[in-house]
Amino acid sequence: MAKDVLRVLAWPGYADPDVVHDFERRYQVSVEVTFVDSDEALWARMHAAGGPRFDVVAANTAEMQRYHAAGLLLPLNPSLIPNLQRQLPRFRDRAGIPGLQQQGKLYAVPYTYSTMGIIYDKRQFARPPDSMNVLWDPRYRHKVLDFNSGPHNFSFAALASGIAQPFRLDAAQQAAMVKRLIDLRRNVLTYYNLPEEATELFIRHKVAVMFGNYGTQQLNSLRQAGADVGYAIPREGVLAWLDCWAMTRAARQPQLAQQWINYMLEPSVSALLPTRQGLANTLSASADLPSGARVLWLQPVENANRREALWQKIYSGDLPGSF
Amino acid sequence: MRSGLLFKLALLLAIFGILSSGITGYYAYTANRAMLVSATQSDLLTAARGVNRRMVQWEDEAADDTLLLSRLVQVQVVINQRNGSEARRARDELAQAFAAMLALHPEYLQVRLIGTADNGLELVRVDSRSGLTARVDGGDLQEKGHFPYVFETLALPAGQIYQSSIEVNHERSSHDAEGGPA
Repeated sequence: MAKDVLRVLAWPGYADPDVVHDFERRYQVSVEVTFVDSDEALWARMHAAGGPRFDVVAANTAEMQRYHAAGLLLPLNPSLIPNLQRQLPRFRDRAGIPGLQQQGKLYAVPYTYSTMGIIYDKRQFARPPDSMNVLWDPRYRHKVLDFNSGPHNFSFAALASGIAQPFRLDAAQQAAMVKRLIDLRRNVLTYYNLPEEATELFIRHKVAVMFGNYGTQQLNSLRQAGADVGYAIPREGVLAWLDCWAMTRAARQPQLAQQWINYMLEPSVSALLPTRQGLANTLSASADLPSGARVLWLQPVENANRREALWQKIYSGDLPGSF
Repeated sequence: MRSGLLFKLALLLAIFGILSSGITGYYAYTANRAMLVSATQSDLLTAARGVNRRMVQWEDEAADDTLLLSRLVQVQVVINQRNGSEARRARDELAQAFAAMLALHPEYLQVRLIGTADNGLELVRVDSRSGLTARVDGGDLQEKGHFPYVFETLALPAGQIYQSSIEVNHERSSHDAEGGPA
């Protein structure tokens, strides 16, 4: 008799061969894993003609909201996922993380995350910086690095400005953030796209502080390159992505799909995230995130195209009067 | 019996014949393919060397043109006097020189003089698109201090040329070179 097949759509590092093999042996099934390397590729796979051809999918909370809105997900039964009890209180507060629940039903289970904190050169700071506003500090003029991204830069500029809803900016707030981001442009050395690019610039130009879009993974790469760097979570709060597991509407065996999600939360499986990927898991506390810190899990922004268009003008060097 | 033997012998001979011609054909095919691949590789290598030589030549020429423009007397006037009629005249004359350079070199998309003050504000800028030149001025000028071609150049001794890495340009403006090479 042919074995049941579970079809998994995930990011590299979320379903390593040894992990998959153990699951196959335990449940006497066969697992097909398809990897994607961008949110766009994930979206395309989930929107293939005829619907998704996967039982379970891993994506961040913002994407999960889009998938739910498009009717692509099935609700989960928490009693089939007993390992939810093992998660840290922060991740058990499902109502507190937009994208996990819809109409009181559980749709996504947190799996791994990364904050986007501040990375600083310990030799240039007597005390760790404690505010996002350090990026605008004229004492570090041309010693600051920022990530080249419209949506994130608007969100953290809003955080730094004390705006309560950084993902939902009205027109006046957007205009105010344009001014703030022009001020930031005048204070940075430059913008980076890739983590290795940031590492090279940080060391070669003796950078003091940067917005760590790639979080602790970036911190590790800087340390390996010999930089004496620290990681700070700003008091205003920190942006963070949170990848979750969900079951698609194409799931052929909901019980098996939820067994997979439960298996991903086994301590031995989740423990591989920090050791192999340099990512945090949802079971054990991370030294880089104090338990009381305010975390803003990424959400869809009010108008991503508008933010991107404004960002292109800011990045290109437009003067304040031309917006 | 005899006819049966003859038939078997004929069949065997035919198989040998087919086999030998097959093997000969196969060897001829692989040998030809290897020769073709080798000839094509050699052609490609020659072409790549040619392109490389031309690229180096273009880079040298562009560097010479940049040095020439940077030594125009108007550059000093524009840098040292930001306002006033003399500075304005010098900027206009530089813009004319830049436009003349772009007209001579359709492969250039832009010639700019960027200052170190005011966050790397462009002082004179002329863009070229499809053989037409257009001056960008006033509020359309942009601050470029955060781009490597500005801050890396400033770290060089006077008279040296900074060559950016070749990539797709993502800067945008009113007459832009966006999407083209930079």
